[in-house]
Amino acid sequence: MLFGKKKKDEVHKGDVFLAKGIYLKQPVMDNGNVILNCFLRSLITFLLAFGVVGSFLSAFSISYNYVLVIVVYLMLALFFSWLYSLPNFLYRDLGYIAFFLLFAFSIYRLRMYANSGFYAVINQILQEAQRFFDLSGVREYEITIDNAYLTIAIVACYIGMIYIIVLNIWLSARVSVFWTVLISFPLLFVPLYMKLVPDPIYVIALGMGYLAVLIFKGNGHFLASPKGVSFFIKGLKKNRITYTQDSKVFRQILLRVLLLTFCAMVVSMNIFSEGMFVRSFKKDWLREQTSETIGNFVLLGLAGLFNHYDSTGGMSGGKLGGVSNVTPDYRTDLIVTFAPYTNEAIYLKAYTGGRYGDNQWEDIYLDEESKAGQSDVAVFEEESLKKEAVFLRERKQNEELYSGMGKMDIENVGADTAYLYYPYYTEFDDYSEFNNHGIMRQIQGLQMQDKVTYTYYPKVVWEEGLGDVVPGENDTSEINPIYKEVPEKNKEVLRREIEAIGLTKDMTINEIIETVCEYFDENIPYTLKPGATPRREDFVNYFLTDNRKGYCAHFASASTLLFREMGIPARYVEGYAFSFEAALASDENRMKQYSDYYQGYSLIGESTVLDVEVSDAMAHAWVEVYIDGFGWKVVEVTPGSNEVSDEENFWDAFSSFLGESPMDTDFGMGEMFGELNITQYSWLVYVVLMMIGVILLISTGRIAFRKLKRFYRCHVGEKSIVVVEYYADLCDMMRVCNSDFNKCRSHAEQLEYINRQFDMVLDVERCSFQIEKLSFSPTGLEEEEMINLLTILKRVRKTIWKYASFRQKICLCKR
Amino acid sequence: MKQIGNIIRYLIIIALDVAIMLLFHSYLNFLLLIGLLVFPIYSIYSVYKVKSAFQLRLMVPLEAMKKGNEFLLRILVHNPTWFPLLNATITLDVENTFHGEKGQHTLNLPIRARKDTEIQYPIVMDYSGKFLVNAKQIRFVDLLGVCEWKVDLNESAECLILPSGVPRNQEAGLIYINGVTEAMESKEKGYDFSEVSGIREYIPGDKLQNIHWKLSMKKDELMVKERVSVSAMQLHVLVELFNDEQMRVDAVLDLADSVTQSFVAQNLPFTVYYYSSNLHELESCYIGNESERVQWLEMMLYDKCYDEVGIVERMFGQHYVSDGTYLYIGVADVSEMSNNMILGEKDAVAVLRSLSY
Repeated sequence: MLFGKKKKDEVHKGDVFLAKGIYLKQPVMDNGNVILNCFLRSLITFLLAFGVVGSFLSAFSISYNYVLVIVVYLMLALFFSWLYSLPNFLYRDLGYIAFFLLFAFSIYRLRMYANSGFYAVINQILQEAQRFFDLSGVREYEITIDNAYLTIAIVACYIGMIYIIVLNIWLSARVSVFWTVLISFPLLFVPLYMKLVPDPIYVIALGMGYLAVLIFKGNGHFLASPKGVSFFIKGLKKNRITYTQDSKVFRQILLRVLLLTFCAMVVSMNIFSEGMFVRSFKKDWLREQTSETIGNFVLLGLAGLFNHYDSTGGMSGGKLGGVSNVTPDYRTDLIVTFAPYTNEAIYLKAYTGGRYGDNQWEDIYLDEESKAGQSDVAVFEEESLKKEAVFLRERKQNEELYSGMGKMDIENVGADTAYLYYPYYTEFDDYSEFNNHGIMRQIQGLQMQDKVTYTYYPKVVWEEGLGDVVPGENDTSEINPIYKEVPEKNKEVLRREIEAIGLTKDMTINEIIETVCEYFDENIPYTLKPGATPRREDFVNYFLTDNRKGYCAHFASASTLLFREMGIPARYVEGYAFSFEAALASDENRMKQYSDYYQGYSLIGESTVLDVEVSDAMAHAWVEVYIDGFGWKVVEVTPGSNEVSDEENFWDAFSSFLGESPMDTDFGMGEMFGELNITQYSWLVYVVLMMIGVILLISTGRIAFRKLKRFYRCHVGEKSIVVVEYYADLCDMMRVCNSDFNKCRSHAEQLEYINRQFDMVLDVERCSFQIEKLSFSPTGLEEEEMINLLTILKRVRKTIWKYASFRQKICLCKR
Repeated sequence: MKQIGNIIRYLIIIALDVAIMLLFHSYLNFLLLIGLLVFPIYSIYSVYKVKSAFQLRLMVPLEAMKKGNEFLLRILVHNPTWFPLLNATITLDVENTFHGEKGQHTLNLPIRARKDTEIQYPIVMDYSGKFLVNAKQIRFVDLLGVCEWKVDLNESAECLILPSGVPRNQEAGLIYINGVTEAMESKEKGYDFSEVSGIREYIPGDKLQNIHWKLSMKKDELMVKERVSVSAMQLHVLVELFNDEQMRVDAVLDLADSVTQSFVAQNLPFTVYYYSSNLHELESCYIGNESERVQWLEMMLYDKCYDEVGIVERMFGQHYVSDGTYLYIGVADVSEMSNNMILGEKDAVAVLRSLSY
């Protein structure tokens, strides 16, 4: 009878057992073709992606090529939905790989469009943020391609593509409501936070998408049916037949969801207008609590969240160490009108540090001790280099060699209003009228939109021998002693650094300056992202010992203390500095005469009057050292930057990674599919290798996870469960090695099969009885019996492995 | 349980939406909230409408089908409303009434709005009998999966599944001749199958074997059993519908089908006898042509098999007291093969036997 039974089982393999002798073949329902089902399923991902991206863009009033976006979204959603209806996982993986290659190719070719579109969106967001947070200015990114209507559509396609891929995975595989919301909605927090409302059409699309997901999660019948089957067979006894999908009911439901969402939202919008809704809230708690942080973030990026105080790259007023990285917004702070007379950088002095204290250069005006009995006016005169300016004016008046006089108009359009900004060596009309940072008298500083004109006497050429004395011979008796002061806490570090630099007592001031500059240039890299100085660490000590990288403030501070330690009076100065090249790149002011702006000796001959836009990126810190015979002189100790420009975008970096200059690439649409050569596509190899690496990594991770889980199941826990799990795992191994094992219907048959297959002599009756007892009986087995059974099973496992072919062993490893 | 999960999920989504709405003062979330609050009303109302208006029909072929052949059970749900549903679950009882084998089965299907939803079930039966399907209950789940409505039904459909015997003309012809010859010989010897039609007083010339001795003793006069002969030139075929776990009755039916088909094909009339479990009596059918034969098979399959061996022979013996020969189709252990025997599967055998007193 056993044979008879087997025959019947084979006849009805795959059939559904209804009652004894009654079988059901594959049931049939006209549920639409695969493509139609895929299309309908893809509509949900389309609605969600289109709803989220469209809501986001429309909230910021960004217009784009809707037709292009809709077509691309629909095609992408359909493609990925179709991938999930393929009968084999391999085809799906191949589909993903093919798409990834296409994506990499397209993004490579369209990177400038995507980049411009992305920046156009960011600029618009920042503008809205500026309005919302009432910021004085936000950075603006340079847009290479002006056709925002197209470029934003392209970037919307790429962003939507990511949404579609991720949402499709969750919708087609799991239909998870929470993941769908979690993936899609957070993007909308940005406009929602700024109280921006999207267009109704996108809200309806989004609402439809979410409702459809809720419906299909609540009812199922959304999962792609493998091999196009109409029904799944479920239940322990396989007595439940569940249909997979039905395009007709799917279509009807989507239509009703659309109608209902549309009606509900239109009616709600008419009954409760946005104004009514907003008015119902009296207090914006979220904005009150977070606007400062978020505004800082908008202004500074991520650094804004970590900096201890604001820094946009402008003035810091001698505060040091709290800034993790400097993020200039590149907005114009000052407009300087002057006539160039030298090819050296022009320095606009603003702040002078006195005593070096707790990670800051203290304001000399605030400390009576620092003032050393001087009045505020006297302090300002020394700080603003009155003596030097008078000296140079006199030289000019005497028409001495290399003397000159300039006029400089400085307009404050975005700089800190706490400071004055003046060139070297300016003679003020009234030193008592002006003041610097910290103390407010008549005028605190250069107010916004204020424009001042200074007369200055530049020292174009330095006389031979000036500074060629050892510090000990430098007469510094007239100098405020605070400029020679070095805090005790820094002395040890400075001494070590002096040794490392190779400074000696017999070196002249010029040699010391030169050696320090060279040393910094060769040994300590410049960076805008040095990281904040840890709390309880000294800024200069940390810079010179642990961090050994930094920006101008680091170099200027450390140099000031080094010079002081070497006996040279020095002071830390902040302000703006712009290069000759930056000046040349500025607009020429044809309305102004050169002679009105400069008279006297010029290193570059007669030039022209320029309007230089000084951005916050040109904010700078440097050192002034005192040299007997003249006075305070600017010393530039900050080395040049080797960093990749912050303005370089990701795609350029990507290109440079692939060994191609971004500027060399012609990104014109007409030539997009033009000449190809092998080296041009070498990046493809990297991409493929990376992809293979990622796939291997994921696969290995999955296998490792499964193995770990299996090991846990088969070794940890109650003994009886462990034995049953061990047996289940053993059966799984058998199935992997030989599909015929599936035909065995009972434990006894399975063990018989193992006996036959491996010439073993298992006591089938006893073992099968024990396994069944362990599986189904509440009484279970004695401990000794279980151990014996487990030993037998382990023996069988070893045998299976031993007799497995190489291919089978690979399959067993992959389990 | 699933509904509770769906309700909790839905409430969490609403709570999340409300939280975002209050936190961001979001008009977008307010609109979504309206949608989230309105939709359950629609969802529940749609189930209510559908459950009040739907019609379920089960359809099977009207004509009897052959065993092992595929036939379609069509399940048709008509929804005249405008509301589609994603989940309706029908509980079906499936039975082979002849064997008494039952099974329960659930089918999950969508309910299309203003359309019929038709599912075709290709059924195969391994055993002859009557296929009976009964839709007991249908459960509708709303679109959000938060409520379920049960509706009791009593819709059924049935289809007869005939045995699939292969004609065995030569063997059957031979056994028929042998059977009829033996019957003729018995008749000549004075033995004949006859049925008792009544009791009357003894008339001189009546056969002694017809005297009802017990009654005569009681009445104190000779009474005789009046008989009607049923044996004239035809074979009596007794079909034993005994069944066991190995479903051997199916082999018996196949063999009976084979033999009777062959008799009809050779124009050999016969009377077939079987024991009806429903009526608790011996049923007989005279069969002279194919339609009569099919009618008999159908009638027999409307009945049930039983688990007691030899009922049909015993009943036959009780009713037809005369000694004679008949063809027994049933299960028997056969030690030796003879000309008076046709073997079927699973120990099924058609063998000539005689009643003797």
